[in-house]
Amino acid sequence: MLFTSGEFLFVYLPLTLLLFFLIARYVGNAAAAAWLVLASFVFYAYWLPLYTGLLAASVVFNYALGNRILACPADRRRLRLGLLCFAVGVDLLLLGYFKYANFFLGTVAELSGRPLGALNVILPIGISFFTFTQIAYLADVHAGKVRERNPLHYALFVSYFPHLIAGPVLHHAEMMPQFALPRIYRPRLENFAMGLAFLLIGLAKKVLLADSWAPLADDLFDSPVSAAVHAGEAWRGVLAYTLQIYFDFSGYSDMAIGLSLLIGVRLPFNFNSPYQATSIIDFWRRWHMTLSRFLRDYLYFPLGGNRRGSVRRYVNLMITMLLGGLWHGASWTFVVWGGLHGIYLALNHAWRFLRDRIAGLAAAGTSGALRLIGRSLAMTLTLFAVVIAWVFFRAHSGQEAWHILGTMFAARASGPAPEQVIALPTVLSLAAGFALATMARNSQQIIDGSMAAAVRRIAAGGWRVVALGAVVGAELTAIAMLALISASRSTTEFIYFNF
Amino acid sequence: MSRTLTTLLAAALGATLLLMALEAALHLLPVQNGLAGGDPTPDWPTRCAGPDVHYTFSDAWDLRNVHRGFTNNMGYVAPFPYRPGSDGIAVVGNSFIEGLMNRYEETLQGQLARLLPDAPAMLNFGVSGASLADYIGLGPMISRRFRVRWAVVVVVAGDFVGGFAPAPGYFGWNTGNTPSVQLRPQPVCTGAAPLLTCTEKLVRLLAIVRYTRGNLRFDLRHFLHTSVKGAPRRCVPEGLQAGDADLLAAYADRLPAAYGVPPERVILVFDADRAELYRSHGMSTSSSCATRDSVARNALATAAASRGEHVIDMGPVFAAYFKATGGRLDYSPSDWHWNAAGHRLVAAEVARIMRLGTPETDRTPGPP
Repeated sequence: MLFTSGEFLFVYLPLTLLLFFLIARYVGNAAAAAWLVLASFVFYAYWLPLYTGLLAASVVFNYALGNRILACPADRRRLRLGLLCFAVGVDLLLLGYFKYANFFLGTVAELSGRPLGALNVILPIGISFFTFTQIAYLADVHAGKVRERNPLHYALFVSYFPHLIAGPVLHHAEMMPQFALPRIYRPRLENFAMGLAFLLIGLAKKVLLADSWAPLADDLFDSPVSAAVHAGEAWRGVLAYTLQIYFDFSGYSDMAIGLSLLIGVRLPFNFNSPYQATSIIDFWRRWHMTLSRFLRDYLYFPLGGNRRGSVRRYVNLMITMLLGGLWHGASWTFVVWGGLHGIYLALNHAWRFLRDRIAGLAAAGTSGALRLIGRSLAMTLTLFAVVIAWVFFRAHSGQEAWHILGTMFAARASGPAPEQVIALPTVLSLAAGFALATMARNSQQIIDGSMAAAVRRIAAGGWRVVALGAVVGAELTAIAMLALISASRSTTEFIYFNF
Repeated sequence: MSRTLTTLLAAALGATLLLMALEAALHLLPVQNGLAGGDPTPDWPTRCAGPDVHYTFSDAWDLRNVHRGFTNNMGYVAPFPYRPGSDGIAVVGNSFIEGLMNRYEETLQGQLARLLPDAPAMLNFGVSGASLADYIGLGPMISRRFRVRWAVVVVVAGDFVGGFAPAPGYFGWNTGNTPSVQLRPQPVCTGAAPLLTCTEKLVRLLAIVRYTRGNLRFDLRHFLHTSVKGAPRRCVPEGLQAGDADLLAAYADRLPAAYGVPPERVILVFDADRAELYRSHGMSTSSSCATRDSVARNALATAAASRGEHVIDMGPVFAAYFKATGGRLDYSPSDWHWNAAGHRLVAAEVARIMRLGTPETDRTPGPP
């Protein structure tokens, strides 16, 4: 079910919330949590009922293996490690079969020159997300970091519908304790006002912005490699995709955060104005933050991080980013995208290393004007590097990516420039998008900052119910309008549903 | 008053205030306006817009492609009145021919008038929502009022199956009580009952309603079924159903008589699958998965050609244009109606046939 769809917003969501609060009030919190698990499975089953069994089996298997590891005496370290490896291995095998089997078969066929038949496999939606969250849980069980072990809360943590399909990548330590809090089982107007605000901003990002730029990007990337493409058209498509993917995914994340907040459960933020980053290191602290955190804590650190010398650090960085790229999809273009970011990060670390040792360069950053210029240049350079990498991320093949990059830089105007390429509305729309992405405050700054303060003021006043009720009513109306706009379009899928 | 009730009333107040603000804003903007179904009369008991109405057309949520125009004395989009008894070339179709998304001069009929300055008036009878049943059902009504010299019928996707579930005011296939389909198109709404009730007419005064229904094309069933569901659907090719072939053969037989012209004076224009054209980068213009409707349109083209009617398949023409220029023939993805380029190519093909001309023969009287 799409968060932007009518059946989700006006049938599934109200029914789920209403029954959740009623069950909590008249039956009990545990029953309400069980209802939320059931509702989350229904949400998943709506896509393809067959794979609900896979999700359920995965939850049961990982929870049981986690308990088994916990039950092992601390001195039986090899058995504990063996159990962890077995559980993680099964998870990765499952992920590998559904997501990467055809990719490997295709690669082998290409290398060997022998045609191999493809498997008839449908990728279970969200498998990357629910696999990663559970691997993190198992790793923490093994490390003795897990405190909360309620099976219901575990099932809810994995299947929780706001994050189930496209993240954020949740961590058990920040989610399971929240499900134990009695306050989340009581409806609160403040939560509704704030949650709906996140939902509204997320919907607006997706429906008004991302979906509006999507056709420009599709026009470029869905053209044949041999097609005559003008340099302006190539830049237009790549820049449109740069905006589309940010507003699409951050919009989805905002919606997930907002939906969860309706129940009073806080999800971690996933984006923090990544196109305002002044370096690639900074970018990865702002883009898909929950995935970056997962890769850092469960891949980069276990590989040794930066504790084993600078050469190993760069190797570890590359491995992490290459696998991070592959996590996004079974294609070499994603690996190249990850590799490019690995190189960017290595260069960034090397630059910082050099800068710290060259006094003159470090001192240059102290003047106010120079700092501003330096910051602007750094932001532009970072964004430029990110834009180039997106070409590989979006292209169907390496050949197509090179063709587009070649067109962008060689000004290979092999075809007539269509009038639309330089159409003023298109240019203005892209410029406005980049201004919004690089200068405006982001959703959490707006809602958790100024709006939260306003809600607190209202809550302290005498007209709390009337004022907050009116805000909620207006938000619901605006959400309904955006849902209508979304329904008027032919395609509204989120980009990250594919991962 | 209980807290819950206060909250609900406050929420209703907030919603109302926002709706009022939206209504005020939309009143200042060019949302779709003006064109509503004119009430049927015994004289013209089928769907058309009200006569002498100024309309505004815009598309999608961001009100793109704004056009303003007006309907003529008969409620059709044309910058001149239709004079009963005059000579004319009937151009029939659905919203493609109604052509609100283009300036009149850019439409098929507008471009035909420019290409053939000596031809009789181009009488556009395009109505949004019409289908094949309307195209033949309208014939006798038109031929009774005008001296039809040519009949140009534009057939697009959905035109065959559209006749099985016509809305009030449109013609439909008469399936009767037997499973076989008979060619007996008749208006669904033949009385003098208005198409819109007074309440509906009042509601249409609200800009937010026109925006939602016109610009956003609101449909409750679609609204509640927009989610990603299930595995990617595989193609299950369809074919004609029992009675379809007979219906189509009869249609091709009787179409000339419906307009009172010989078969050589009927031009059937078949649209291409432009989504497939763009998907295949200009290599294909036929549906990759056959449907009952696409098979029926192909069958109609064959039947019409075998009876001496002119058949134009726009597929190769559109494909050649797309490959040469990369330009689209429509406003897709938001609107799949032909743009000026699409209409221009169709007009050129139709004009080419008309220039070749055919000797005038006795008009074949009578409806089918």
